[in-house]
Amino acid sequence: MWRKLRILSQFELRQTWDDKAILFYTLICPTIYFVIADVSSKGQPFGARNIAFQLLGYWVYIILVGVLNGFQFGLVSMRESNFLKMFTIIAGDKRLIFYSNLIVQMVFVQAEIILFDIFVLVLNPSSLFLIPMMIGGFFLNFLLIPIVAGFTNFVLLLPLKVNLTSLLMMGYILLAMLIVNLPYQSDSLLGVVLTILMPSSYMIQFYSTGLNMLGQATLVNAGLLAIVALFYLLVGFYPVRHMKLQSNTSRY
Amino acid sequence: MEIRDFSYQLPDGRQLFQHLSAVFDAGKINILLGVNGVGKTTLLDFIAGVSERRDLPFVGFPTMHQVAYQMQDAPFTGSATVADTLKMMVDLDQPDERFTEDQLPVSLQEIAHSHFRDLSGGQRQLVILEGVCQLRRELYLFDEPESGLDVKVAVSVLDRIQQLTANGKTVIMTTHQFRNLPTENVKVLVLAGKQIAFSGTPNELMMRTGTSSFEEAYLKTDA
Repeated sequence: MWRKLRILSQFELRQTWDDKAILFYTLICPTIYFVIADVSSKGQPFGARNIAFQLLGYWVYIILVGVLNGFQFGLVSMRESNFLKMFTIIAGDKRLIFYSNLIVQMVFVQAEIILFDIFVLVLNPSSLFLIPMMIGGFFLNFLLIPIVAGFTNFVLLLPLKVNLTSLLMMGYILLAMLIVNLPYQSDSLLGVVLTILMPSSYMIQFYSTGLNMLGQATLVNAGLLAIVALFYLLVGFYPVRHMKLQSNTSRY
Repeated sequence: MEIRDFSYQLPDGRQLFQHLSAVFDAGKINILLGVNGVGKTTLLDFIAGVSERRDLPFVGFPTMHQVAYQMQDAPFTGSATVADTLKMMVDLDQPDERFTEDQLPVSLQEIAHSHFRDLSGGQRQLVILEGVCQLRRELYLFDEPESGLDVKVAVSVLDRIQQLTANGKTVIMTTHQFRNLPTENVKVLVLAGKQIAFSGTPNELMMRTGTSSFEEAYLKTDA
């Protein structure tokens, strides 16, 4: 099992790296935005306040796009081109394909966040005090990425065509990023509901609690995050067993 | 390996199989014939296990781990090279062996470092066929293996498939090409009218239809 997972992950890592266009959405876009923000704010791209929280926004975007665009959309595309069917027969188990893709996406997302963080530090040396937070975030991401995959695995069960799936994901990412910027209190009813339902809100809460930003790490917060994580890691991974191998758009 | 009284409807409601029963002989090449759209690939998908066959009347077929399946159109990732693809397939299948490029057949050595996206349809088919034949499984499924291949290569592919049965493996293949088809150690199953309309050796098919060629016999059966 582990041997097969290693071989598949190495193979897919090479294929994913070959298609460097994926870096456009997850690394180049946020970097361009950051540069523009830096120039237009005369060296204060994060503004004067809530610097750390604004960095979280970039991380949330990179993870969400990486998981949805790189991982879930990648699996749907594989299914629709019949590659998933072929690959599963070779590997002997579709779960191996799912987990090897998740590992590869985790590697890419982590590398992109590190590169982005380095870029932030170079362009904005006053952010140096964020280094401990960046290191903490790096370790938290190993937990967070599988949880976000659990949030979004429902996509694998939807009988959608590739184009429609792409549109759905773009809309979902836009909605998630807009919601992150709403001025709600995290401990309000709306905040709790969004933490349960929206991966972007969950991620902000997860980082805030995990990194104990502004002393938000309470037992209630941690408990809510743990229950939601457990739910999505159990229920959210149900589709992996039941995802179709055949295309939704053609008979074979 | 047997299918007993199997009925199946396509998602659009069309009945594809109605009380279909079939026996596939172990250690032989089982050739599944039938017109386009009759359900040959669908049946292979069920046999392979890529279509869920739990609780369905498929008896004696190995699990997916023991099935090698060459699909039509050689679906594969365009960015992979020929060598990477075959290495991955062999490494996954055979923990005790390391695949090296020297093991590639001569016909593939020239394109060992070419990406899948840069190959012709026939070359892609050949790479996947080579990979499938390299897998050590009990049951081998080939869906129109000679499709897109030139005559010389098609003959070598059919030879390779015969070697599998010589090594005690079972083969189920579909085809629309009758030229060069083996007739020894072969069972023919003709899928027509939502059922298996004929099952037997090529000679039995020819005798039953009173014809002297395999192709002619099939045409009469299908009609």
